[in-house]
Amino acid sequence: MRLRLEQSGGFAAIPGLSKPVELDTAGLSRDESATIEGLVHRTGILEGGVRSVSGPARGADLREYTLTVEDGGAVTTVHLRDPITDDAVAALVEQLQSHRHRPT
Amino acid sequence: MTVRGTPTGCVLGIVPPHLLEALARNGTGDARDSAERALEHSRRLAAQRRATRGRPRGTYSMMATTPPQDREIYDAHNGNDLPGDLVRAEGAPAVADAAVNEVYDGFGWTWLLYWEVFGRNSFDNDGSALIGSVHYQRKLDNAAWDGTQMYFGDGDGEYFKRFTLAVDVIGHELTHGVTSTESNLTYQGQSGALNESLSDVFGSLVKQRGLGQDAA
Repeated sequence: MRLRLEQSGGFAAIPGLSKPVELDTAGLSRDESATIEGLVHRTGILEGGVRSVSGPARGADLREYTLTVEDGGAVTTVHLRDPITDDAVAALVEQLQSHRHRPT
Repeated sequence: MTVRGTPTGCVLGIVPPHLLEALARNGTGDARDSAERALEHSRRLAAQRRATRGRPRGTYSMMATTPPQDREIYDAHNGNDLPGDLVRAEGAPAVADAAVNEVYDGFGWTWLLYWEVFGRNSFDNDGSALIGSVHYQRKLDNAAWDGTQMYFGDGDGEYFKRFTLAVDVIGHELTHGVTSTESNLTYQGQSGALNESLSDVFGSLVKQRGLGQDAA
């Protein structure tokens, strides 16, 4: 399973700190892979269970995300915006962010 | 001297009451009648002001009393649910959590700027509560206005400290509430840039006024 998370917006939107995250679970440890794939299945994103936001934000300084999941040849992309109220989706985004390479 | 005619035809404005009383007493014809109507109008206004004293007002008046602030600070406990648990309501004493007190005080500074300088009662000029949640998500590098309330992240601790530390950030976010209830500048493209710019300017004004700084 391959995943990509792009992030934009927010009060402190510094490109160097919000680079896209790309992961291939085949390259992760068994535990990390199981964690991420488990979160993906919890969200239901592969079954169309995550709806994209559309139109401009009602608020301001809200982060937006583009999340792409590729699994078995099928590619699913959704657009998200904070505050993410679905716990499983929020957990997946947080998990992917933890894999972002930060500048040193 | 200028006077202003009301729809009822009486004369009032900057004519001092002692002149109106003298006209009512010693004037003749139209001048006396007009002075009497102006005095009666002033008495009615004074009675209305006494009756409404202490209430929030929707529009600014030099004679309006200061309406009460209404601040509600919540703790999201590093989760995704908003607003979280109420930890400090209006008038409650400071708590041990600095982030809570910073938002409470920052809301106060912002509210005072809008009231004392612009006669605006809260972000919507209708006295609505200022609601803020601290400790939103884990190590979040952000502060935002979600359309009804503000939330503040703790920062990652490496590049950003908690977003409640800077009062201009709080003023910035609250000003998004002002903008949303006035022009509702669409948050994208040029209108979004104007929306952001207004928040930047007023965020700085909140900080400078709170610190007693002037433009000189």
